[in-house]
Amino acid sequence: MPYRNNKLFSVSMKNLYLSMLLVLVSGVHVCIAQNNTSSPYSRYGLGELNPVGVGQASGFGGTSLSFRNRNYLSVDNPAGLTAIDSLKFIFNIGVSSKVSNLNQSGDSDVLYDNNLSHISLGFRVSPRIASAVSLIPYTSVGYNISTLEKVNGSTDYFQRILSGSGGLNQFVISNGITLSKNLHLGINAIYLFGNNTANETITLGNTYNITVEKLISKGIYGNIGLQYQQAVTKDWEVTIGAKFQPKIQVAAKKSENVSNSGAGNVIDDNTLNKGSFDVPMTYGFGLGFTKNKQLWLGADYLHEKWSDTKIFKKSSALVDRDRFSVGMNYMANDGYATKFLKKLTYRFGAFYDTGYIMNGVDRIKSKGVSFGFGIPMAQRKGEINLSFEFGQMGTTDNNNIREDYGKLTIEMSLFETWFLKRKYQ
Amino acid sequence: MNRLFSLIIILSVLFIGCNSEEFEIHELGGSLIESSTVVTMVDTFTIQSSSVIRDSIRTSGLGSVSVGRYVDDYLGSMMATSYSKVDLGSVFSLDTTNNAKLDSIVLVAYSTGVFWGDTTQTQTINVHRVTDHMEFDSDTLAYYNIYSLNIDSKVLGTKTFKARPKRKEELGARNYHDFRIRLNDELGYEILGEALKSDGFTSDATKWEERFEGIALVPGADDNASVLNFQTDSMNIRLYYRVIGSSTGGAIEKHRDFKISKSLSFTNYQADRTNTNELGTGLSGLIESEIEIPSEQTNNLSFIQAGTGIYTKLKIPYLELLGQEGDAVSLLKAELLLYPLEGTDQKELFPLYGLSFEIYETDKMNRLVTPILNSSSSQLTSIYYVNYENPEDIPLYFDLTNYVGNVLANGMEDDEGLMIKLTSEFNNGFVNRMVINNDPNSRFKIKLRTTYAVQK
Repeated sequence: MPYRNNKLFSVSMKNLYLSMLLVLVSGVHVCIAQNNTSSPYSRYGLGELNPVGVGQASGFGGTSLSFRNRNYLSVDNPAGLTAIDSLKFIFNIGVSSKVSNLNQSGDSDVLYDNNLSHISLGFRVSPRIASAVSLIPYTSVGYNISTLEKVNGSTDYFQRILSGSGGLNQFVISNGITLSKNLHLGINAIYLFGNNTANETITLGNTYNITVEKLISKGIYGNIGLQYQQAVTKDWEVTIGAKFQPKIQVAAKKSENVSNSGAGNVIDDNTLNKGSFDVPMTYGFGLGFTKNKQLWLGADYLHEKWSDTKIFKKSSALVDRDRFSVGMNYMANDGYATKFLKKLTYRFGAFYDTGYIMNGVDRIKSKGVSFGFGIPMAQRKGEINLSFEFGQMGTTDNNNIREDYGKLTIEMSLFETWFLKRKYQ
Repeated sequence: MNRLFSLIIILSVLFIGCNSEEFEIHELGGSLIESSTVVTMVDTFTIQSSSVIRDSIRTSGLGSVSVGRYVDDYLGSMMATSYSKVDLGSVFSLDTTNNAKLDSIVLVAYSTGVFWGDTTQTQTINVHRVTDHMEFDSDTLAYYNIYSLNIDSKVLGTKTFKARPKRKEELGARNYHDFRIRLNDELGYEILGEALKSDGFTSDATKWEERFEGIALVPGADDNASVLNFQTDSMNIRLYYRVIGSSTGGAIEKHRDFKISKSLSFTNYQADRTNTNELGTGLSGLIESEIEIPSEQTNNLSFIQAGTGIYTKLKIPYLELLGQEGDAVSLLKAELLLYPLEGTDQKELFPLYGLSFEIYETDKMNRLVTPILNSSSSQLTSIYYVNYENPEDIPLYFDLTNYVGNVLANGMEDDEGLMIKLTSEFNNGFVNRMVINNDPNSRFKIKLRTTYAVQK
């Protein structure tokens, strides 16, 4: 424990810990209290799935299974953690801002969502092991839909308002282990918490009926990842990444409350304390090519078997998800750069995602392109990662909704140098 | 540097937290929703109806009295007789030196504009002297529809006429035209003679009462015309006389009004339902309040008749089964619809327009147990509106959401029922009647339309 002898360093660490604690506490608060989406599709399944890949990876379409970088805290494939610098302590916080234009049969509506996208911190524990803890949303729920419908067997109309809020969050403890020079294993242990609330208000005349359904998650699941790297030529190196997650029942609670304004009473109040919902069996493969540690090109395929999953013993009515993505990461700095533009990292990517929702005959697919920049801070104190994504989700066929969106993600990545004993202060 | 970054981070997190989107309700996404709650309307409840009669309906103190007779196609004959005490008012005395001479004595009355029946038919009103002492029973302080008083068989005055109950003083005026019946001069001479005496019966209210208690307005026994309604605060007996003045030499015309008592005036309603069996509406057995005559025995009809106190009673025996329609049945609306039998609501003869009805919970004994309340916890009433220019089948409508919601939550008594009557004392003290269709084969039978939500 050499740093204990360094007085100055330990003061700085104390500050950092304090700030981190504050940020984590407020971050958790935000994640739980906020509605992270305005998509009507978030009514389905467990909500709108959080985009694959955070931070740097959002710049190249989330193509992260085979990505290894010394500044990157890889949560999607924890095997990638083994790439981080041995002397660094990395702290990331990301926020995103999304503008969506929702279209349906000629009508459109613009919605804005601002979010905390992730908080993570990681460091190398030993020469072979690197660890990270992260707080990342898993799903988001936020919709408000109002319809006028006919009463069965009558000519009367009633109003149905569906609204949802909440979402599930992941607290992830990731460990990456170097098994051999070329082979790395990663393990994520995930505590999935938060709740999805679905409200349905039926109004007829002066009377309304409110149903509130809550899915409260408080369970644990996990997944593993592998990365294998091999130099193929003098300049090129190939990385193969893989990910696997078994179908796991996540412990949860469910409450349902039906009340009626007319009689002024609660018709039904049910709380199921013991139950579960499934996270799907998942596997994914990634292939990456790295040239001279500067250029990386990658492609990912991810499969999630949602069709098998159940929510409180009821079939979730979801479909299997396939996701394809390609990406590029180019560090323009060869180590001797002086011009600003030459110091940046450039990222580009694209993805195609079938999603896990089937509405009638239509799958709610999404596709998008992204690009981003990594801007280093002075004195190698960190990096600011900006990424832009433009995409589409859904279709206007059969009176469905298409969301056209643009999203900006800003990640602040801070590096604190550990384990370095300075000779000169 | 670290501190600065920390500050920026914390501020940005807080900023985002505060900047979270407000919800916007939009119609987008309507087609996507497979609902978890189903909303259904059911109006097929069995509704048993019957006609019952109340003991006594207060008819005094309503501001009007009714006179007339008509024969109802469903309820037999209906005869309204009014009784009114006539007050002396201030002492009436004339100077004996003045030579007063009787002109005439008349009953002056003003219509309320309300009537029931056929005004194109000739009808008769006979004025009689009341011989019973008129005073309230100290317990009730009221007179009721079933009360009647002894009258002198001698007719004080009579008029046979075609009624014009809506006639105003002049076109567009506020006040109704007066209605007069000339009374026998004999009564005029009697009163005028007493006024000239120093201690005649017009000098003292008690003495007046002993000689002239009041008047009864009795319709012709065989009339089949209309029942008229007269204001009690303007009805009077008017004595016209002339005083021969000494100084001027000419005669001065004078009159003196003897007003009828507003409080001690009431109407007796006498219904003869003995022939209703021939009419197909066998209501002759309707004599006591515990009796209820089901619609099945009265040509699938039930009745509401003010004045005589006929109410319609309903029972919905399977109402509680609504709670078994599914999981967590939540009532959104319950409407009771009662359709007047076609042709029984006639603008010129038997207008139901604008009448207000109310509904009570009732029991086996046909008592009015508690009024049914609306959603704001005040008594539920319903006004019947119909457009006579374009008559459709418009029901009398009650919003029973509150009541049915309570039944679902708390259940109902075995012999619990609903009783429907006219609301205001005035309307309930007149002859308005409603004939309600409850023919099980008719589209217009009594219905309870319930709309409820059930979890899928």
